[in-house]
Amino acid sequence: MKPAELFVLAVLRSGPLHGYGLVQEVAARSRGRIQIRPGNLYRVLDRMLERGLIELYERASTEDERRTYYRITQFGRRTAQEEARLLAGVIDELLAT
Amino acid sequence: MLRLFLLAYPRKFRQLHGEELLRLCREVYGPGFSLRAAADLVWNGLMERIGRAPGSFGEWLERPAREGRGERFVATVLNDVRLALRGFRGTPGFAGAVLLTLALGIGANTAIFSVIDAVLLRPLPYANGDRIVHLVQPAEGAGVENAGFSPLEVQDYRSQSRALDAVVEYHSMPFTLLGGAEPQRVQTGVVSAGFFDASACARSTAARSCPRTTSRAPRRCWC
Repeated sequence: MKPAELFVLAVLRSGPLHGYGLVQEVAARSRGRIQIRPGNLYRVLDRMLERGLIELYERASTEDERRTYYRITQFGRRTAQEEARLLAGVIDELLAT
Repeated sequence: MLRLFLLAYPRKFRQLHGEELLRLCREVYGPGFSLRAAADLVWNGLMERIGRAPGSFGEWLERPAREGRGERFVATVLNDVRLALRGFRGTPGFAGAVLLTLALGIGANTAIFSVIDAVLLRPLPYANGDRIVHLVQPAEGAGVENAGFSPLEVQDYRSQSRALDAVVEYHSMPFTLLGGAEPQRVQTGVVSAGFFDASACARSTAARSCPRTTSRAPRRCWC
């Protein structure tokens, strides 16, 4: 799983979000180290939709315009946790040596 | 305008994410056209097309036609490239000969076009360079191709020619430059009065009033 995908899953665990919110939240949580460009964000989201990690969640925005929201699926939650465990193991090994 | 660059993405992708993507581009890069947004869309669109291209001919055949011709085109190109590279690897001698032939052919074409462009196509570095003609005066009896013009002859051309708006003269001659530690022999360019005005003339009046100076001055003209 690519870092951007993991960050997207981590962000979506807090609740459904639209594209712009994802860009901002991913940048904030990665302390600015991961800046997903708009052109790439929807490629990432498209693949995650295909793999069933996330799903579309349409709802009327607080603004006038309608935005497409994305939310994490159960499969996405499990995958994120497995990925996190795997990374945690690797990190523990690295820190121990 | 940005919508045009959206075409870099596959059709299916555009249908699903196109509007959202454009909205996000406006929010991130600002409203209106942005070069960064255009580059982002083109790059990621092409990457998406390449990434989505089927990996094999069989997969290509099985892919439903509804996914559009763009993906098939990219897949065909990629397969052709792979086939060509495999062929090159199998016959390195032939591949080398082909590459050498292509390199020489392209190089020769480029060189010839550069000459044609410089000599025939590109205009002289003057305003209305196509109106400027170069006069020489042969001395056939003496077997000299260009005997040059005396100041009086230049004056005669200037006053009597009706085809030319301006006649100016230039030549090159060596001088000895003094004033430094040692005298130096320098080559100079000498121009007559009005030489630079003639360039302006070529831009304005000559362009309008010199019809076809070559017919009036069949053996070349001024400057």
